[in-house]
Amino acid sequence: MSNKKAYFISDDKLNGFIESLNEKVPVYVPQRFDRADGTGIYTEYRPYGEGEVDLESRTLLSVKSIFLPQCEVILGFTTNEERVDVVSEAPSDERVLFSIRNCDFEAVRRLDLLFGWDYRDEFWFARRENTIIVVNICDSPLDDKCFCHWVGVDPVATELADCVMLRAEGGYIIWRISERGDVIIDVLDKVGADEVDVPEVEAKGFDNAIEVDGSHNALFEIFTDEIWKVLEPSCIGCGICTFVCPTCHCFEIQDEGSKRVRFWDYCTGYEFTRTEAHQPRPRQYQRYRQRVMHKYSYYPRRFGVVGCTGCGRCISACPQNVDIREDIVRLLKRAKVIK
Amino acid sequence: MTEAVNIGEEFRKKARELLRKGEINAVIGYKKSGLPPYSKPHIALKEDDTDEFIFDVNCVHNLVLYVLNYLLEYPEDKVAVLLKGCDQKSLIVLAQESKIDRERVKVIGFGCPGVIDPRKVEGDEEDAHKSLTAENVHDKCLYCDVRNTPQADIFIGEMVDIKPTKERYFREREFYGKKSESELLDFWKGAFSSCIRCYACRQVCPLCYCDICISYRNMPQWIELSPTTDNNMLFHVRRAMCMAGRCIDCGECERVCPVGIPLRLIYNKVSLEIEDKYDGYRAGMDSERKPPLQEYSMADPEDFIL
Ligand code: SF4
Ligand code: SF4
Ligand code: SF4
Ligand code: SF4
Ligand code: SF4
Repeated sequence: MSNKKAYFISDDKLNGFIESLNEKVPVYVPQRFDRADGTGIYTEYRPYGEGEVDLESRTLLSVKSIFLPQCEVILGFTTNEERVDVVSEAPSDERVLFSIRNCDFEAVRRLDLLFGWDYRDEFWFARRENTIIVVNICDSPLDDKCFCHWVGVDPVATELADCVMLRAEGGYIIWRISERGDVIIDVLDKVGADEVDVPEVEAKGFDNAIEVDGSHNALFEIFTDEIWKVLEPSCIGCGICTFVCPTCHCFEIQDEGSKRVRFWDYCTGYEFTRTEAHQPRPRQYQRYRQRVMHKYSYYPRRFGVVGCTGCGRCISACPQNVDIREDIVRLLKRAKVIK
Repeated sequence: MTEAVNIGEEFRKKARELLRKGEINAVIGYKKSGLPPYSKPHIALKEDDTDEFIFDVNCVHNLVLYVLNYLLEYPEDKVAVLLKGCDQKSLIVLAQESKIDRERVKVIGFGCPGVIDPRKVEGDEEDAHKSLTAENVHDKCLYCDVRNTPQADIFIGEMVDIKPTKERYFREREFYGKKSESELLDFWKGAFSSCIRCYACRQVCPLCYCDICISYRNMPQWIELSPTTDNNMLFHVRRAMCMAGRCIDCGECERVCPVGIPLRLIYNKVSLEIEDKYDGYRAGMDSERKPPLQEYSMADPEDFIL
C-alpha cells in the first residue's frame, strides 16, 4: 500500500472535524433524532448538522436512501411565456458519505449490478459517482442481529472504499485508500489529528455462520412447497423490512401535479404495483415468499451474489418479530441443503 | 415470572382439544420470540403446533387482525382465538360491520392482568420485559374496564378484579389540554416529518381492511404518495376520520411505528369527540348499539352542510 499513514481523531474532536469537512464537501453522516413519542431515538443518514452525530448505532434506514431517495423528482417542467421545457437532471454535486458499514457498502455495490443491467439508471449512477465513501469497518458485530458473514460480506474489507475508519479507544482511526479520500486526509491534517500507524484489523465474534452461498437453485426448487403457507403467518405486509433494507430497490413512478416522482414500493404490501397494473401475488404468504426468494434465489441466479448483505435491519425493525435468518434456516432444511 | 397469569397450560390443552375434535380449523394465540417484545402471534393448524402457545405480559399483539386475515383467506373455516378484553372489542366492531361472521370465531377469554408497552422499555435488558411494573405497563391497561374478556365463548383461568386507576384517555386529555393550536400544529408537523409511510400502522390495525386504501388511490389521486410532511399529515388526518367511532385503543398502530409517532394521541382524541357528541358511544363496548356513523336518524342535525 502506498500510503501507510493513518490519523487518530478523538471523540471530542470528531464533530469539529466533520464540520470542517462539511465546509468543503457536504457530509452525510448518521445522526440521532428523538422519537416524537419521547420513548427513545432513531438514527439516520442525514446532511451534517440536522441531529447529533452517532456512529455506533444501526441506522433505521440504510444508506440506500442516499443513492435511491425514498422519493425523488425524475422529471418536471419549467414554463415561461414562450415555451415549456422538460427538466430531468441527475444530481451532480460531490458529497461525502461518512461512516458506512460494509454491509451497506456491499449492498450498494450489489445494486450497481441491477441498476446497470437492463438499462443504466442515470440517477443511481450519478449519485454513485459523486459520493466519496468512508467505510467504518466492523471488527466485531454491532449486535446479535448482524449476519453479514452468512452472505459473503467481509465486515473489515477496505479495498473499494475511499477512506476507512475503525473504532479505537476514545475515538477513530482513519486512513486513506483512494485518491478521492485525500480531501478527508487534508481536513484531518488541518484539524490537528494525530498521526498513527494503519492498524492490523482482525474481525472477531462473527461465528456460527450458515453458509447460504450456492443454495439459490435448491431454494428455487421449493417455490411451490407447502412450507411457504405456514412460514411467516405473523407478517402483516407492511413496508418496514423493505424500506429499511439496503438491497430492496423496488420503486414506483407517479405524477404528482407537474412532477413525475419515483418512490419506494414494497413487494410485501398488498398494493404493490396494483395501482399501475395488478397485484401479481394476491396472498400474503406469496408476498413474503417474494421478499425471501428475490434475495436468496432470484438475485444470485441472475447476478451471482446474494441479494441480502446481513445488515440485520429487517430483523430489528419488524414489528412482528419476523427473523429472516430463522426462515432461511427452515427453508434450507426443507430444500435439503442443510440438516 | 414471565407467565404472569397462569393460563398458558390451560390454553394449550384447550387448543389441542378443539383441533382434535375437528370443529375448529385453526387456533390463534401467541408464542415465544427471542426478540422484543419477546412474543409473536402463532397459528396452530395441527395439534402439535399447540405446544408452542404461551401467554405472558408481553403478549401485546391484537390477534383479531389474524382472525380477519385468516377468514379472508379461508372463508369456510372456523377459528378459535385467545383474546384480551381490549382486543375483543375490535372483533365486535368487525362483526357490526359484517366483516367477520361471529359464528366462525370461538373467542377464548381470560382475566387479563395487563400487558407491557414495549416502547417504554425499548433497548432495556430482557429482564425489564419480564413482569409488569409502574414503568412498563401499557397506558391503556391503567383505565381498562374489560379485563375479563366480554362475550367469550370459552373462559379459561380465574377472573381478575382490578379496578381502573386512571381516567380513560388520560394521556390525551393532558396532551390536548395544555397546548395551543399552533403548538399542536408544530408538534404534529414535527412528528409527521419523520413518517416513512411504511403503512405498518395501517397494516396492523384490525379495522383498516379496505381493499385499496384511499392513500393509494390514484384515479383520482387523493393523497400524494411521496412521504413529505404535508402528504403524511393528510394520510394521517384521513386515517383518523376512518377510525372515528371504530378505534378500540388496542395501541397496535403506535407500537409498530418504526419512528415512534404517538398515533394513539390522534385516535383517542377522535374517540373522545365521538363519546362527547354521540351520547357516550364507545366502539366495541356494546354489540347491540349501532355505531354512530352507521346510524341514520331523521333528527340528525345537518347544520354543517349548509
Ligand atoms: S416481515 Fe415484518 S416488517 Fe416485513 S412486511 Fe412482514 S411484518 Fe412488515
Ligand atoms: S434482507 Fe434484512 S438483513 Fe438482509 S440486507 Fe435486507 S434488511 Fe439487511
Ligand atoms: S425483496 Fe421485494 S421490495 Fe425488495 S427488491 Fe425484491 S421485490 Fe423489491
Ligand atoms: S407506522 Fe409510523 S412511519 Fe409507518 S406509516 Fe404509520 S406513522 Fe408513518
Ligand atoms: S387505530 Fe390503532 S389503536 Fe385503534 S384499533 Fe387500529 S391499531 Fe388499534
